Formats: sequence, structure tokens, C-alpha cells
Amino acid sequence: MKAMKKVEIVFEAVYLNRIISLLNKHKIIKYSLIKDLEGRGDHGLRMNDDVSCIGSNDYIFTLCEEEQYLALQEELRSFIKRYGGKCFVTDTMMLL
Amino acid sequence: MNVDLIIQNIMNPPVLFFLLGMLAVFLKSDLTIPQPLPKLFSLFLLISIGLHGGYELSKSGINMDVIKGLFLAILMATIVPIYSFFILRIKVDVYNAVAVAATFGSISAVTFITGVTYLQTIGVDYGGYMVAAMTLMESPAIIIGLVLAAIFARQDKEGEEKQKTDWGEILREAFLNPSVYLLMGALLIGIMTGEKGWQAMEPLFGDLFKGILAFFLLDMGLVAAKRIGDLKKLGFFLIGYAIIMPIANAALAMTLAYFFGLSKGDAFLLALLSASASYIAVPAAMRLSVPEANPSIYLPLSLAVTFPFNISLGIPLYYFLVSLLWG
Repeated sequence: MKAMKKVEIVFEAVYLNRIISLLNKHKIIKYSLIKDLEGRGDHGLRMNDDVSCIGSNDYIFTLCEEEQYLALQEELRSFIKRYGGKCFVTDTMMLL
Repeated sequence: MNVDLIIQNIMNPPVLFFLLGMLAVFLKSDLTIPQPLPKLFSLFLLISIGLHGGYELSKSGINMDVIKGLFLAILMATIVPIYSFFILRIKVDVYNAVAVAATFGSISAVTFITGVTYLQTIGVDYGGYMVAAMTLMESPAIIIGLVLAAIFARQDKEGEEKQKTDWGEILREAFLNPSVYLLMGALLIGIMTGEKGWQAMEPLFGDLFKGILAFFLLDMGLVAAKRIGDLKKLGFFLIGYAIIMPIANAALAMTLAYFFGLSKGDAFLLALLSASASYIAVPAAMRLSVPEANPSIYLPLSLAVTFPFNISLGIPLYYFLVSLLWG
């Protein structure tokens, strides 16, 4: 088993390309993505029923080495500060 | 204004379905439309209007009327966001003024399509090139919005860390967003294939057009009504802006169209396009490029005020005003 960091980010769907570019910049190229989330957060009810993608959120999660995460951390923080969203980081063990 | 014009417009099945969608939300009905369908319908409508416009353009060819119409379309799409920005600055901060001005400087394809359906119902001709005009009017507002933000926001943000603008991403969003790309593509296919092409596609993209528009407007009614709650925070100035500005823009467009000698149908569509506001392409572009602007200001204004106003009262009003000039 290998110790890894699990990074989960919930963000506005329009910023998907920017989030992926940010991860790629730190050599994090593998991820899982769930599109069109619904729920309630700081910006009220987010519904996936809009003709524009302004109202919907996406969720992305990835596993990375601690060094990669440390390199990513500050840029991710400024990203969320500027564009909104939430990020959760957990220590995890990868079986395979 | 003649009340018959309003009734004639509202008694159109697509418009009634829009009102039915709004009513469903007000009455707390559980009516929902499975999400991929409205997206499919919007693609259908864009292809349909693009193909038909291309076919009409292949018949008429490029003449002086077409050039004048396209010129006026670009002119309106350029000046509306500029003067809107300065009007909005009376009460609104730079970022939100940029986003609202860009939203109202661009157009709504569904409003245009509803206007075309209205003209077909009352038997007034229009030029197929107006589809090209609509396509040309989508993007300039995004670019102008960004330029305004670059000039005026800089003054507001002195001392703060400057954020780089990714112009590649923004220009891609402005000129290759799905609506512009599909409309332009369908228009070109319509021009290339002409009458034979249109005859082959008509059973799907012609005969089913009104039914699909009704279904799409039913969904738009649901979406618009759900946004009405957001208007409570916006205040009189912005809500008034979302009704008065479209009328002023339409009046300016039809005056220019009159002096340039456009036909009645084309003048009406140009006025309607100038009066409409984007709720797909521009809000997405503004979210990308001006994240400081609050989407719960510019989106509900466009979606819950201007869009319902235009398709219910705006269309007969603009047609009435055009009829005063053209007879």
C-alpha cells in the first residue's frame, strides 16, 4: 500500500478547463470527474437545470504524491479564492 | 399599441408553452424536463434556423441589402455594450457593469427564433441573411466587455495583484462557443446545399420546428420563473434597466434600419436582436473572464426579466413601432 493525497475539488462548471490545466501543470494528469452536481452551498441552491452552465458545479478528484500536492497547494488556494469553489484534501492509502 | 398584436403574439402555441412553464413554477407543480432534452432542443433549433437561413441566402445571394443588414448588425453589437456600460456605471460597480453591458450587448437566439415564428405567423417576409446577422452579433459584446474591464477595472484595482487574461481561451469562447459554431456551420451547409439540401432536411428541421420550439420554451419558462426569486436583491434601477434598455436599443436599431433602407421584416428582426440579451454564451464568457462580477445579477436580469418581456410584450411592441415607420 502506498501513502497518497486525495484532492477533491467542487467548482463551477465553466472553470473545468482551468482546473484540469492547473492539475496538469503539476504533472497530475489522472483524475475522475462528475459533471452537473446539484446541491446547496455559499451561493445558494445550485441546480443542474440551466441552459447556460453558469448554474452548475462539477466535482473532480485525483490522487497524487505529497510533493505534487505541496507544489499545487498555493495555486489551488488562489484559484479558489478568485473563482470560488471548495477543495478537500485527505491522506489516503492506495491499494493498487 | 394595438392590443390585437399582443394577443396575436401570445396566442402563438410556443409563447403559451413558455407561460405554461412559468405558471408551473408559480403553482409549485413538479413539472420537470429531463436535462439532456432542452440541450438537444436548443441544438435542433440552432441547426434548423441556420440551415433555413443558409437556404434563403443561397436564393437571394449577397446583395447591397445583405451588406447593409450585416453592417448594421455589427454596428449595434458594438455600440450597445459601450453606451450600456456608461449608463450602468451610474449605479453599478465596474465588474458588474461590464458583465451586464456585455450580456445586453449580445443576443438571444431563442428570442430571434420566436420573432421569426411571429413573422411567419403574420406572413411578413425577412431575409435569410438575418441568421448570419444574428451570429455576427453574438461575439463582439464579449470582446468589448473585456476591453472595458481592462481599461476601467485597472483603475479600480491599483495595488492589487494583476491577473493574467487568457485571451486564447476568451476568444475561443467568444467565436467558437457552441451556439456561434453550430449556427455558422448550419448556415454554411444551407448555403452550400441550397434548395436540394433544404428539401432533404425539411421533414425534420422544418416541419418539426414549431413543436420543438414549444417544448424548448416550456423549459425556458421553468428556468426563467425559478430565477425570478433572485430579482428581489437587484433593486429598481437594474430591473428597470432590463426592460427600458431593450426598448431603447430596439428603437435605435429600427431608426438606423429605416435610414439604411432595410425591409420591414429585417428591421423588426434587427430591432429584436438588439433588444435581446444573452443568457448562454456571454454569461459563461463573463464568468471566465470577469469572475468578480456577480452572476446572480446579470443572469436573472437577462433570463427572468428581458427574455420573458421580449417574447411576450417586446415582439408585438417592436413590430408595432416598425409598422409605424414602414407602414
